[in-house]
Amino acid sequence: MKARLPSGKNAKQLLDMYYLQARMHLLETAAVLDRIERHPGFEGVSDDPRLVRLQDAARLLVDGQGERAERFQKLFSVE
Amino acid sequence: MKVIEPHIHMIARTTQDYERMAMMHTVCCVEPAFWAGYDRPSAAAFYDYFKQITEFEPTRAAQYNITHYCHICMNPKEAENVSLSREVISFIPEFLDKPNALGVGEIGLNKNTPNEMTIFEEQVDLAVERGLVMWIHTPHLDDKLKGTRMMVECLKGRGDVDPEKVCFDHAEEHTIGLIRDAGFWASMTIYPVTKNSPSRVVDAIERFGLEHIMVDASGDWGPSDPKTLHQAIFEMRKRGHRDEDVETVFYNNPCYFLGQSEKFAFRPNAPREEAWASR
Repeated sequence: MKARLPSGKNAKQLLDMYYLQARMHLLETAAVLDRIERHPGFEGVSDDPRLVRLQDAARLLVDGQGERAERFQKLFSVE
Repeated sequence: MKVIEPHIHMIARTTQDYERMAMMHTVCCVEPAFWAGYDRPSAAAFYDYFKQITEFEPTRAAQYNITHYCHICMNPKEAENVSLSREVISFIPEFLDKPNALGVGEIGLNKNTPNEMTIFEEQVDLAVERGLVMWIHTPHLDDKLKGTRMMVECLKGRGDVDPEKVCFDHAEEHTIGLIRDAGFWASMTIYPVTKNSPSRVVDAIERFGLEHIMVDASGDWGPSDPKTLHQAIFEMRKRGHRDEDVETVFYNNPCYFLGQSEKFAFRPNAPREEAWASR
């Protein structure tokens, strides 16, 4: 996943810059899933294709492969 | 550093947005013709809209030292109505002759229907016939990948389209590569929820390089802000990129693309071979 136009930063610096932002986005997503789960009627939506796709996307984040954003987009695209 | 906004719907913005853009060093904006947020009732409504973006908007922009250009077309959303579309297309040439009209746009697909594709191709015919640049709208969200592929294959299959004169807008991670590999320009739109964020735009620039790439704020009826273009500029600077490279994306690249029209008055600060050279 080599950048064609590298920034002036190294991986540690980028982690320092974006850790809290990434944490925020993941936390917001966790909160949405919790919100849906604790409301009446969750049993009726637990296998909704959108929720299944969100779970697939979450697994994609930690599967150890690169180009996560592109694979995420393709997961959510119609062919 | 001067900034060019290559895609923004100023008809949907207050005059204060022109003021803000001017204060953030925007010197020029381009307004493609688009869907009004509702389906227009007649061809006359389109005629009136085209008059507004070719005659009135330039005067509003000029109050803030911003040069306003536009593209003219029947938009992808309303292209589903083929008879209305053809009525509108019949008077588009009148507006393409206006001093601030650069090209045909934003044509494209919305839900990737056969009717939309028919009207897309008829407007490509018009642009090719007149040697004009084309600004292409790629569909939203789930429909984007399929629609982009359809239009790229269509244009490549024709044999008479100069890829240098075509920009596919609203490009994202999964479409930038296929657009650029086919030789076309790609522009990335910054919308907070449904398209790109400033950070992802800079990620894409780092991943794909400086060639044939632009950024725009679009700024229409949904949550959007002309400031997002400048947020991307700041993001690129914050990551330590050279000023010359920031200027390439946000000023020179629009000059290289839009300057293919004789009406476009702005000139790049460097030849593109130099601006795009690998380091």
